Amino acid sequence: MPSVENARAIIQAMKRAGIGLVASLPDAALAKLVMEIDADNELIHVPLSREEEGVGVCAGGFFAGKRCALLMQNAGFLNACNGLTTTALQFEIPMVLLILYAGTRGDMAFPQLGVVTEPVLDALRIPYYILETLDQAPEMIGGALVQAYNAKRPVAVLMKKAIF
Amino acid sequence: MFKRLDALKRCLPVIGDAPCIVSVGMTWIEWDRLRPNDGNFALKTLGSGSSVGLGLALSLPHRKILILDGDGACLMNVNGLITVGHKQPKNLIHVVWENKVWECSGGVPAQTGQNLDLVTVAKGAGIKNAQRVGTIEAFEAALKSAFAGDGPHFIVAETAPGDEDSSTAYARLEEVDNKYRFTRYLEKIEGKKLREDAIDIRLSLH
Repeated sequence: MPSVENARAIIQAMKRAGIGLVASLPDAALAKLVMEIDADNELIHVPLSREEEGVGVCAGGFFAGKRCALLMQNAGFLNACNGLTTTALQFEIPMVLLILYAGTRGDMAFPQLGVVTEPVLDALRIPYYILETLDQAPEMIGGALVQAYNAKRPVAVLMKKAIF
Repeated sequence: MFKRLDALKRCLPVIGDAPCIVSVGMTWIEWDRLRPNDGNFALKTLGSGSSVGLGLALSLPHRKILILDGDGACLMNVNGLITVGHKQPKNLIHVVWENKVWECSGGVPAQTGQNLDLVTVAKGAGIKNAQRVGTIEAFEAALKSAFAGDGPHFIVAETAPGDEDSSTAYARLEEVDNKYRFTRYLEKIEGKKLREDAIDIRLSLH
Protein backbone atom coordinates (compact mmCIF):
# COMPACT_ATOMS: atom_id res chain seq x y z
CA MET A 1 0.00 0.00 0.00
CA PRO A 2 1.28 3.50 -0.80
CA SER A 3 2.26 5.39 2.36
CA VAL A 4 1.72 9.02 3.28
CA GLU A 5 5.34 9.25 4.48
CA ASN A 6 6.69 8.22 1.09
CA ALA A 7 4.35 10.63 -0.66
CA ARG A 8 5.61 13.45 1.56
CA ALA A 9 9.21 12.54 0.77
CA ILE A 10 8.47 12.93 -2.95
CA ILE A 11 6.77 16.27 -2.29
CA GLN A 12 9.81 17.44 -0.32
CA ALA A 13 12.03 16.49 -3.26
CA MET A 14 9.76 18.48 -5.60
CA LYS A 15 9.84 21.51 -3.33
CA ARG A 16 13.61 21.37 -2.99
CA ALA A 17 13.75 21.50 -6.78
CA GLY A 18 11.62 24.64 -6.61
CA ILE A 19 8.58 23.09 -8.28
CA GLY A 20 5.55 25.28 -7.59
CA LEU A 21 2.83 23.87 -9.87
CA VAL A 22 1.84 20.23 -10.32
CA ALA A 23 -0.73 19.00 -12.83
CA SER A 24 -1.82 15.43 -12.14
CA LEU A 25 -3.94 12.44 -12.95
CA PRO A 26 -3.90 9.59 -10.42
CA ASP A 27 -2.80 5.99 -10.64
CA ALA A 28 -3.60 3.70 -7.69
CA ALA A 29 0.07 3.86 -6.70
CA LEU A 30 -0.01 7.69 -6.93
CA ALA A 31 -3.20 8.16 -4.92
CA LYS A 32 -1.55 9.22 -1.65
CA LEU A 33 0.88 11.48 -3.47
CA VAL A 34 -1.91 13.21 -5.42
CA MET A 35 -3.96 13.75 -2.25
CA GLU A 36 -0.97 15.09 -0.32
CA ILE A 37 -0.16 17.48 -3.18
CA ASP A 38 -3.77 18.66 -3.17
CA ALA A 39 -3.61 19.32 0.57
CA ASP A 40 -0.33 21.28 0.30
CA ASN A 41 -0.87 25.03 0.40
CA GLU A 42 2.53 25.85 -1.11
CA LEU A 43 1.84 24.01 -4.36
CA ILE A 44 -0.62 24.95 -7.09
CA HIS A 45 -2.33 21.64 -7.86
CA VAL A 46 -4.26 21.18 -11.10
CA PRO A 47 -6.20 17.88 -11.20
CA LEU A 48 -6.65 16.86 -14.84
CA SER A 49 -9.01 14.52 -16.65
CA ARG A 50 -6.66 13.82 -19.56
CA GLU A 51 -2.91 14.09 -19.35
CA GLU A 52 -2.27 16.12 -22.50
CA GLU A 53 -4.00 19.06 -20.82
CA GLY A 54 -1.19 19.05 -18.30
CA VAL A 55 1.40 19.95 -20.94
CA GLY A 56 -0.56 23.13 -21.68
CA VAL A 57 -1.06 23.90 -17.99
CA CYS A 58 2.67 23.50 -17.34
CA ALA A 59 3.47 25.71 -20.35
CA GLY A 60 1.19 28.44 -18.99
CA GLY A 61 2.80 28.17 -15.57
CA PHE A 62 6.27 28.32 -17.11
CA PHE A 63 5.51 31.63 -18.85
CA ALA A 64 4.62 33.09 -15.47
CA GLY A 65 7.86 31.88 -13.90
CA LYS A 66 6.60 28.71 -12.19
CA ARG A 67 8.66 25.52 -12.25
CA CYS A 68 6.10 22.90 -13.25
CA ALA A 69 5.67 19.14 -13.08
CA LEU A 70 3.22 16.77 -14.75
CA LEU A 71 2.42 13.71 -12.61
CA MET A 72 0.79 10.71 -14.32
CA GLN A 73 1.01 7.03 -15.19
CA ASN A 74 2.83 5.96 -18.36
CA ALA A 75 -0.51 5.39 -20.13
CA GLY A 76 -1.06 9.09 -19.55
CA PHE A 77 2.36 9.90 -20.91
CA LEU A 78 1.26 8.24 -24.16
CA ASN A 79 -1.94 10.36 -24.06
CA ALA A 80 0.22 13.47 -23.75
CA CYS A 81 2.57 12.81 -26.68
CA ASN A 82 1.11 15.31 -29.14
CA GLY A 83 1.13 18.11 -26.59
CA LEU A 84 4.67 17.22 -25.59
CA THR A 85 5.74 17.34 -29.24
CA THR A 86 3.85 20.38 -30.55
CA THR A 87 3.96 22.50 -27.40
CA ALA A 88 6.79 21.47 -25.05
CA LEU A 89 9.35 20.44 -27.68
CA GLN A 90 8.27 22.88 -30.41
CA PHE A 91 8.45 25.93 -28.10
CA GLU A 92 11.35 24.57 -26.01
CA ILE A 93 9.44 24.64 -22.73
CA PRO A 94 10.98 22.87 -19.73
CA MET A 95 8.90 20.70 -17.39
CA VAL A 96 9.45 17.64 -15.24
CA LEU A 97 7.41 14.55 -16.13
CA LEU A 98 6.87 12.37 -13.07
CA ILE A 99 5.68 9.09 -14.55
CA LEU A 100 4.48 6.04 -12.63
CA TYR A 101 6.19 3.24 -14.50
CA ALA A 102 3.53 0.54 -14.93
CA GLY A 103 4.43 -2.71 -16.64
CA THR A 104 8.13 -2.51 -15.97
CA ARG A 105 10.38 -5.19 -14.50
CA GLY A 106 8.46 -7.12 -11.84
CA ASP A 107 5.10 -5.34 -12.39
CA MET A 108 2.35 -7.46 -13.92
CA ALA A 109 0.03 -4.53 -14.76
CA PHE A 110 -0.10 -3.10 -18.30
CA PRO A 111 2.85 -5.08 -19.75
CA GLN A 112 2.60 -3.40 -23.17
CA LEU A 113 2.93 0.03 -21.57
CA GLY A 114 6.08 -1.17 -19.89
CA VAL A 115 7.47 -2.30 -23.23
CA VAL A 116 6.80 0.88 -25.22
CA THR A 117 7.44 3.64 -22.65
CA GLU A 118 11.21 3.99 -22.95
CA PRO A 119 11.27 3.67 -26.77
CA VAL A 120 8.63 6.44 -27.05
CA LEU A 121 10.62 8.69 -24.70
CA ASP A 122 13.70 7.98 -26.84
CA ALA A 123 11.77 8.80 -30.01
CA LEU A 124 10.73 12.16 -28.53
CA ARG A 125 14.33 12.83 -27.41
CA ILE A 126 13.05 13.27 -23.86
CA PRO A 127 15.79 12.32 -21.38
CA TYR A 128 14.59 9.97 -18.62
CA TYR A 129 15.83 8.44 -15.40
CA ILE A 130 14.42 5.51 -13.41
CA LEU A 131 13.69 6.11 -9.75
CA GLU A 132 14.22 2.77 -8.01
CA THR A 133 14.43 3.88 -4.37
CA LEU A 134 12.99 6.79 -2.44
CA ASP A 135 16.36 8.10 -1.28
CA GLN A 136 17.28 8.88 -4.90
CA ALA A 137 14.29 11.22 -5.25
CA PRO A 138 15.84 14.59 -4.25
CA GLU A 139 18.83 14.22 -6.54
CA MET A 140 16.83 12.74 -9.42
CA ILE A 141 13.90 15.17 -9.39
CA GLY A 142 16.20 18.14 -8.79
CA GLY A 143 18.58 16.90 -11.45
CA ALA A 144 15.73 16.42 -13.92
CA LEU A 145 14.63 20.00 -13.33
CA VAL A 146 18.15 21.33 -13.93
CA GLN A 147 18.43 19.40 -17.16
CA ALA A 148 14.92 20.42 -18.28
CA TYR A 149 15.75 24.12 -17.92
CA ASN A 150 19.20 23.92 -19.41
CA ALA A 151 18.20 21.66 -22.30
CA LYS A 152 14.91 23.62 -22.65
CA ARG A 153 12.69 20.54 -22.91
CA PRO A 154 10.76 18.06 -20.76
CA VAL A 155 12.77 15.57 -18.72
CA ALA A 156 11.12 12.44 -17.29
CA VAL A 157 11.55 10.54 -14.05
CA LEU A 158 10.08 7.03 -14.30
CA MET A 159 8.97 6.05 -10.81
CA LYS A 160 8.70 2.38 -9.90
CA LYS A 161 5.70 1.33 -7.80
CA ALA A 162 7.99 0.00 -5.10
CA ILE A 163 8.97 3.52 -3.99
CA PHE A 164 5.40 4.29 -2.92
CA MET B 1 -24.09 35.28 -37.27
CA PHE B 2 -21.29 37.83 -37.65
CA LYS B 3 -17.72 38.00 -38.87
CA ARG B 4 -14.91 36.88 -36.57
CA LEU B 5 -12.65 39.59 -37.97
CA ASP B 6 -15.16 42.30 -37.02
CA ALA B 7 -15.52 40.82 -33.55
CA LEU B 8 -11.73 40.68 -33.11
CA LYS B 9 -11.62 44.40 -33.95
CA ARG B 10 -14.17 45.03 -31.20
CA CYS B 11 -11.88 43.19 -28.74
CA LEU B 12 -8.99 45.64 -29.13
CA PRO B 13 -10.32 48.58 -27.07
CA VAL B 14 -11.79 46.26 -24.43
CA ILE B 15 -8.87 44.02 -23.53
CA GLY B 16 -6.11 46.56 -22.84
CA ASP B 17 -2.77 44.85 -22.28
CA ALA B 18 -4.26 41.44 -21.40
CA PRO B 19 -2.11 38.50 -22.49
CA CYS B 20 -3.88 36.53 -25.24
CA ILE B 21 -3.66 32.79 -25.84
CA VAL B 22 -4.66 32.32 -29.47
CA SER B 23 -5.75 29.20 -31.32
CA VAL B 24 -3.78 27.90 -34.26
CA GLY B 25 -5.30 28.72 -37.64
CA MET B 26 -7.25 31.67 -38.99
CA THR B 27 -8.01 33.10 -35.56
CA TRP B 28 -4.28 33.63 -35.08
CA ILE B 29 -3.74 34.98 -38.60
CA GLU B 30 -6.52 37.56 -38.26
CA TRP B 31 -5.62 38.49 -34.67
CA ASP B 32 -1.91 38.86 -35.36
CA ARG B 33 -2.64 41.35 -38.13
CA LEU B 34 -4.90 43.39 -35.84
CA ARG B 35 -2.66 43.19 -32.77
CA PRO B 36 0.93 42.38 -33.82
CA ASN B 37 2.00 42.45 -30.23
CA ASP B 38 4.33 40.37 -28.06
CA GLY B 39 1.42 39.79 -25.68
CA ASN B 40 0.07 37.05 -27.95
CA PHE B 41 0.91 33.39 -27.61
CA ALA B 42 0.18 31.42 -30.80
CA LEU B 43 -0.76 27.88 -29.86
CA LYS B 44 0.41 24.92 -31.90
CA THR B 45 -1.34 22.03 -30.12
CA LEU B 46 -4.99 22.12 -31.23
CA GLY B 47 -7.28 22.62 -28.27
CA SER B 48 -4.58 23.52 -25.78
CA GLY B 49 -5.87 27.09 -25.32
CA SER B 50 -7.99 26.36 -22.26
CA SER B 51 -5.05 24.51 -20.66
CA VAL B 52 -2.31 27.07 -21.36
CA GLY B 53 -4.69 29.84 -20.37
CA LEU B 54 -5.51 28.05 -17.11
CA GLY B 55 -1.85 27.51 -16.19
CA LEU B 56 -1.17 31.19 -16.82
CA ALA B 57 -4.30 32.37 -15.01
CA LEU B 58 -3.52 30.31 -11.90
CA SER B 59 0.07 31.58 -11.88
CA LEU B 60 -0.91 35.26 -12.39
CA PRO B 61 -4.22 35.36 -10.46
CA HIS B 62 -4.36 39.17 -10.36
CA ARG B 63 -4.33 39.51 -14.17
CA LYS B 64 -7.06 38.90 -16.76
CA ILE B 65 -6.07 36.25 -19.31
CA LEU B 66 -7.92 36.00 -22.64
CA ILE B 67 -8.19 32.83 -24.73
CA LEU B 68 -9.25 33.24 -28.38
CA ASP B 69 -10.27 29.76 -29.50
CA GLY B 70 -12.04 27.95 -32.31
CA ASP B 71 -14.95 25.57 -31.83
CA GLY B 72 -13.10 22.65 -33.41
CA ALA B 73 -10.07 23.29 -31.22
CA CYS B 74 -12.26 23.54 -28.14
CA LEU B 75 -13.82 20.16 -28.98
CA MET B 76 -10.39 18.58 -29.16
CA ASN B 77 -9.73 19.40 -25.51
CA VAL B 78 -13.11 19.37 -23.77
CA ASN B 79 -11.13 18.12 -20.77
CA GLY B 80 -9.71 21.63 -20.50
CA LEU B 81 -13.20 22.99 -19.76
CA ILE B 82 -13.63 20.38 -17.02
CA THR B 83 -10.40 21.51 -15.39
CA VAL B 84 -11.33 25.20 -15.64
CA GLY B 85 -14.71 24.37 -14.10
CA HIS B 86 -12.92 22.59 -11.27
CA LYS B 87 -10.30 25.29 -10.55
CA GLN B 88 -12.64 28.30 -11.07
CA PRO B 89 -10.00 30.88 -12.08
CA LYS B 90 -11.68 34.28 -11.63
CA ASN B 91 -9.37 35.92 -14.17
CA LEU B 92 -9.85 33.59 -17.16
CA ILE B 93 -11.93 34.61 -20.18
CA HIS B 94 -12.41 31.99 -22.90
CA VAL B 95 -13.88 33.13 -26.22
CA VAL B 96 -14.83 30.45 -28.76
CA TRP B 97 -15.54 31.42 -32.37
CA GLU B 98 -18.22 28.94 -33.35
CA ASN B 99 -18.29 28.69 -37.15
CA LYS B 100 -19.52 25.09 -37.02
CA VAL B 101 -16.80 23.78 -39.36
CA TRP B 102 -13.25 22.52 -39.05
CA GLU B 103 -12.13 25.64 -40.88
CA CYS B 104 -8.42 24.87 -41.11
CA SER B 105 -9.06 21.24 -41.94
CA GLY B 106 -10.88 21.91 -45.20
CA GLY B 107 -14.20 23.25 -43.90
CA VAL B 108 -15.61 19.85 -42.94
CA PRO B 109 -18.79 20.25 -40.81
CA ALA B 110 -18.08 20.12 -37.06
CA GLN B 111 -20.24 18.59 -34.35
CA THR B 112 -21.09 22.08 -33.04
CA GLY B 113 -23.34 22.46 -36.10
CA GLN B 114 -25.39 19.41 -35.14
CA ASN B 115 -26.33 18.09 -31.69
CA LEU B 116 -23.64 19.67 -29.54
CA ASP B 117 -23.99 22.85 -27.47
CA LEU B 118 -20.66 24.00 -26.03
CA VAL B 119 -22.37 26.37 -23.59
CA THR B 120 -24.22 23.44 -22.03
CA VAL B 121 -20.93 21.53 -21.84
CA ALA B 122 -19.20 24.45 -20.13
CA LYS B 123 -22.07 24.95 -17.67
CA GLY B 124 -22.09 21.24 -16.95
CA ALA B 125 -18.39 21.50 -16.17
CA GLY B 126 -19.12 24.18 -13.59
CA ILE B 127 -18.39 27.33 -15.63
CA LYS B 128 -21.46 29.30 -14.54
CA ASN B 129 -20.69 32.39 -16.61
CA ALA B 130 -21.11 30.60 -19.93
CA GLN B 131 -23.16 32.19 -22.68
CA ARG B 132 -23.85 32.20 -26.40
CA VAL B 133 -23.90 35.43 -28.41
CA GLY B 134 -25.45 35.77 -31.87
CA THR B 135 -24.75 39.42 -32.65
CA ILE B 136 -21.61 41.52 -32.57
CA GLU B 137 -23.24 43.93 -30.10
CA ALA B 138 -24.02 41.06 -27.74
CA PHE B 139 -20.47 39.81 -28.12
CA GLU B 140 -18.96 43.18 -27.25
CA ALA B 141 -21.23 43.50 -24.21
CA ALA B 142 -20.35 39.99 -23.03
CA LEU B 143 -16.62 40.65 -23.40
CA LYS B 144 -16.84 43.97 -21.52
CA SER B 145 -18.79 42.30 -18.76
CA ALA B 146 -16.20 39.50 -18.57
CA PHE B 147 -13.34 42.00 -18.22
CA ALA B 148 -15.29 43.90 -15.55
CA GLY B 149 -16.28 40.96 -13.34
CA ASP B 150 -15.10 37.69 -11.86
CA GLY B 151 -15.02 34.54 -13.98
CA PRO B 152 -14.27 32.07 -15.24
CA HIS B 153 -16.08 33.34 -18.34
CA PHE B 154 -16.93 31.30 -21.42
CA ILE B 155 -18.35 33.07 -24.48
CA VAL B 156 -19.45 31.17 -27.57
CA ALA B 157 -19.69 33.62 -30.47
CA GLU B 158 -21.66 32.50 -33.53
CA THR B 159 -19.40 33.65 -36.35
CA ALA B 160 -19.08 32.86 -40.03
CA PRO B 161 -16.03 31.04 -41.38
CA GLY B 162 -13.34 33.46 -42.61
CA ASP B 163 -13.00 34.50 -46.26
CA GLU B 164 -9.39 33.42 -46.73
CA ASP B 165 -7.83 30.12 -47.74
CA SER B 166 -6.36 29.01 -44.43
CA SER B 167 -4.00 26.53 -46.10
CA THR B 168 -1.79 29.32 -47.46
CA ALA B 169 -2.07 31.71 -44.51
CA TYR B 170 1.21 32.96 -43.13
CA ALA B 171 2.18 32.72 -39.48
CA ARG B 172 4.53 35.58 -38.59
CA LEU B 173 6.28 34.14 -35.55
CA GLU B 174 8.62 31.22 -35.12
CA GLU B 175 7.66 29.29 -31.98
CA VAL B 176 10.77 29.78 -29.84
CA ASP B 177 10.81 33.46 -30.77
CA ASN B 178 7.15 33.63 -29.70
CA LYS B 179 8.07 32.03 -26.35
CA TYR B 180 10.76 34.62 -25.58
CA ARG B 181 8.69 37.57 -26.81
CA PHE B 182 5.67 36.46 -24.78
CA THR B 183 7.68 35.91 -21.60
CA ARG B 184 9.37 39.31 -21.94
CA TYR B 185 5.97 40.90 -22.47
CA LEU B 186 4.72 39.30 -19.25
CA GLU B 187 7.86 40.54 -17.46
CA LYS B 188 7.18 44.04 -18.73
CA ILE B 189 3.56 44.21 -17.60
CA GLU B 190 4.31 42.40 -14.33
CA GLY B 191 7.35 44.59 -13.68
CA LYS B 192 9.52 41.68 -12.58
CA LYS B 193 11.74 38.93 -13.92
CA LEU B 194 9.91 35.70 -14.72
CA ARG B 195 12.15 33.81 -17.09
CA GLU B 196 14.84 31.50 -15.81
CA ASP B 197 16.77 29.41 -18.27
CA ALA B 198 19.96 28.15 -16.73
CA ILE B 199 19.34 26.70 -13.28
CA ASP B 200 21.86 25.35 -10.81
CA ILE B 201 19.84 23.18 -8.46
CA ARG B 202 22.43 23.55 -5.71
CA LEU B 203 20.99 27.04 -5.24
CA SER B 204 17.69 25.56 -4.15
CA LEU B 205 19.04 22.50 -2.31
CA HIS B 206 20.15 24.53 0.71
